[in-house]
Amino acid sequence: MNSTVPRRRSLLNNRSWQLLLPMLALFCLVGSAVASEEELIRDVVILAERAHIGDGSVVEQALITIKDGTIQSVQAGATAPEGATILRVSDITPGMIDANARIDVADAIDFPGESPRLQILKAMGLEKHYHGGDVCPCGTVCPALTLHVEEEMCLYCGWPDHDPHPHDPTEEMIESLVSGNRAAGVPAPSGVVNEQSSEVVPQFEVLDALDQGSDDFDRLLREGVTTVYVSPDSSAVIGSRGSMLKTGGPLASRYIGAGAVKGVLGSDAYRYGSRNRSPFRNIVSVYTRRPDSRMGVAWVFRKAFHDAFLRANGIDPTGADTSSPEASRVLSQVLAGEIPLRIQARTAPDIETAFRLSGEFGLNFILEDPVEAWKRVDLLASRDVDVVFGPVYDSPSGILAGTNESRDSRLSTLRDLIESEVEVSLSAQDLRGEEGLARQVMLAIRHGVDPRQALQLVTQNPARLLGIETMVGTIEAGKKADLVVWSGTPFSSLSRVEKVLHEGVISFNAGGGLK
Amino acid sequence: MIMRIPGGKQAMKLNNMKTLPLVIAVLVTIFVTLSAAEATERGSKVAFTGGTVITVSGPTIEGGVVLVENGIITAVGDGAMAIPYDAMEVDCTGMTLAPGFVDPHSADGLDVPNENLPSAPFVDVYDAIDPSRFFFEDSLRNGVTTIHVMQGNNCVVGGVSRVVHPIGLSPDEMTSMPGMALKMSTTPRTGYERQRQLAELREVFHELDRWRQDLAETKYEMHAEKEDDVDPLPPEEARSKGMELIEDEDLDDAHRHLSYLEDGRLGAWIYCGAATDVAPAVALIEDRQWQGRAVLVMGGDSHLAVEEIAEADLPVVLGAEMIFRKRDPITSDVKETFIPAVYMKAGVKFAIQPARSNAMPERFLGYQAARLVRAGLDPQKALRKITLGAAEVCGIAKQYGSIESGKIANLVMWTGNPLDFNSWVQKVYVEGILAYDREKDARLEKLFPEVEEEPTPPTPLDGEAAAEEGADSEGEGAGEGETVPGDEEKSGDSGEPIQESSEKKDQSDEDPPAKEPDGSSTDQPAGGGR
Repeated sequence: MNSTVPRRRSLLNNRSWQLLLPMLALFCLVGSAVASEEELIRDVVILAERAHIGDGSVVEQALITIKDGTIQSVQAGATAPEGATILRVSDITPGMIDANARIDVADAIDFPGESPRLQILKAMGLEKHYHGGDVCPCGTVCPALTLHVEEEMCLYCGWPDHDPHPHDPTEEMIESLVSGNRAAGVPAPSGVVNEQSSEVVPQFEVLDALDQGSDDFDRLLREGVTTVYVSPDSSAVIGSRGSMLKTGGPLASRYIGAGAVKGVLGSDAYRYGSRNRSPFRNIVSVYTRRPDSRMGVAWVFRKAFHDAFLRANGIDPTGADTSSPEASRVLSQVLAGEIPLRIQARTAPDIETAFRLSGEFGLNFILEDPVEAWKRVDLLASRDVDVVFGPVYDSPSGILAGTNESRDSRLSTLRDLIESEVEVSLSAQDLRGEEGLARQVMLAIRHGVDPRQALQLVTQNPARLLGIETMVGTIEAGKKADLVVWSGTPFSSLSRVEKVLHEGVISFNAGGGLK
Repeated sequence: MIMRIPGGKQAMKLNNMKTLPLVIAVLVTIFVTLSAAEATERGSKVAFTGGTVITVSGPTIEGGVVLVENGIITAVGDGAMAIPYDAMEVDCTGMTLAPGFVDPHSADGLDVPNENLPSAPFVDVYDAIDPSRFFFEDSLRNGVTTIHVMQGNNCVVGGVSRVVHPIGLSPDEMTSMPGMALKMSTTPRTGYERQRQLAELREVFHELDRWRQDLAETKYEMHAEKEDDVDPLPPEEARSKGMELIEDEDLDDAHRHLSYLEDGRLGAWIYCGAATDVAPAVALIEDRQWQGRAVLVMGGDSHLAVEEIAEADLPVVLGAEMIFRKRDPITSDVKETFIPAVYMKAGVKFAIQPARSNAMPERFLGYQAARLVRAGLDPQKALRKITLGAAEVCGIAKQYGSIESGKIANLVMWTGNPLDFNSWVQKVYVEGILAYDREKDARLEKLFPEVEEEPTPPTPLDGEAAAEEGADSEGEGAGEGETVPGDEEKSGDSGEPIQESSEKKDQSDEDPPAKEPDGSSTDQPAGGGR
């Protein structure tokens, strides 16, 4: 409506003054017509052959009434009211929610020139050889650790033609590493960020590093993901807080709120990060800091919460590696249960450590990315922990191939967790394949998860996990009309996302692209 | 095996000499060890009954029957078709029978994808095929039964490709059709730039022409000498006459495959890794008159040259990565293109590959075809793309790609629609012999164990019956709580579960591939077994 006003006024300026009054009257009429049209878009009635509610139930011939972007009612077999705008669809589901997305953030994507490695290569005229990652794509010892062009052979080690371990059992892993890195897409797989000025940085939020206009949000939208939890990466023991955002709708209203504090147990916290290297020949620099083992990681975690506990009780903590008062303030809120805590623990020992540490402080937490959960299903079930699992894979590819924590995965994990009544949310993480999260659900269904429960993994469960279940997650009266229209059975390999609605407004249309 | 080899007489002879005795030796030893009387009846004829037969070339038949004799499909019909009395019956009730998928272009089965020499037309993938590669096992698991193994793209002129089945102990056993095509590339190989790449590529054929002319002259001279021709022909005519006199024996190793390429016995597969590489490839094909047996292997942004390809009427094999992403250097917007849609729109004949990575759904060829369906292709046509269509591109459509009489019996038994991701490959038959059985897939069992049926827990002693049962199990299993699943496994391994008679027959026929290792170790000619 805003855009129509100046245009009509400029038209009016060209008319004679005689016509001003009638034209003004006309203008008012047109204006009101436009307004009602917009209302119609927001107030829509959807007639779906099957509405997959998201709580495990399906309503056949469902009539979904939407007003002001909110679902008013869902009725089975009702007839559409006279004169309403009706959208007839075959299958409809709630918009999907990715509870652990690693997507491009401004720092990583827009300023690649900041990389000192790239600067050096540019000076040498070898910028083509920059692949952006810390891990050599060939996965083996190569003097030119960072000098592999993605599609070309390495100048030094001959990758990919050289075959360092032709019959080594890790051969497939190497292959997956190579091709996975290559398949990870544009840009190089570094599109995540965490603050690294300290190991304990819960006072930061990933929102400040986010480019909300990033293509990645559009990509998620096309996949049918309407709400996303953007997680910081795993390069700090107690990292920044994640952010919850919508993937569509007006930019100004996309941000939902800050999420959990991210804790990381395992090797990522000491292996990754540009400013986190183990001392080389005893040279300790600004790039070198603790920890450099799992013991150290656990210590940093414990110390941070202990510091927060002391400060909350008016005692000043001591020691060289005391976390900042700001960090303690946030962590004391975590201790008080006001801010949720997520712990990334992939291997079985790390999962056990997560329970041990949280037990020490009486913390509730969300278990993130438990690759080896299949080994400790009993533990997860008995402790009643919420889990963000995914992606589903048998051998790691892409970024996952870069860590040795992701190798012992099972295709049956989701099925086993669900059978043990662990509440699981499914995430595609950084996968950039076509329709990432939808394909994850497809994989879950193939591997033993009931299709109705599978939908819950990406709708109701993550909504609860993120604490936004009153707003999104199911097709119910009172919830936002964030919906996905499918061309056929949802999550079938043969059907695709046709339309995505944000608060009743179509934000993606397979025929017409993004709106 | 003899009849379906179009090219490479030398290789063919070699192959037959090697494989036939081997196969016969294997079969004979197995049959002898089992029962000589049965051997003649069994193994030769198999009838697949009761399943939904997706023929691809014709209509889908519910409750169809497929007859296989000596590894070749002899008849396809509905349930009314008579089944020979001596045929072994494979019950496919509730299952879907489809032709095995065709992987049109793969270097994954090789120890390394490329020869180090830029131009090595004298090599053959035969020497590099590694039957123990996980790739072959995984191909079977995913329903791929026919693989066109070809050298990688990083070459100027590469070696000769061949069509293999993904099962066997040696390249010989695996080979179905040797001598398929030569690999070339108009995209610069490592360390090359375009000028050098194309100059070297042209030089290979200029040198061939010179060599053949010299050879023709020599041949003519020898001919003239032999015939006491006192009045020799002028050089031009002498050469053209000499050309006709060239026989396969005259060819040296360096020029043999190139000569086969010239006389039509080999195909020309040219890799174009960028749009700019398509024009030189098309020019080369037209210059050398390879039309009809030339295929472009696409990569990178080469789909931008789709109009040139459509005009030249060339079939293409798409790269394994179906989405092309490009970041605009000025706006930094990433643009995504679903490559197959470009070719679908232009009407170019194309074949697709499974992803060459661990990317979970994309490495399934059936899923890749499902992506085409999502892009708007008719499901039947999508299935055709990975079966008969791919076979056509490879030039093996007479032997593969559909379930019809006369074709090789590479059949896959699916639990449902092959394009539906919830369908599993239940069994795979290569040349009518069981090559894969999901029930016995140890690797799958590890990654995705079946939900174990709760062994009836030893009930507390609350009655006489319970007490008796407890006593029984103690007596048998020496106190092992897991006797039930353990026993099942054992019986599964021996391949003789106590089942109906037809099932039993089925099982015993499934033995040959499983026992091949034993059989082949007796490295004797066919006669030895008798």
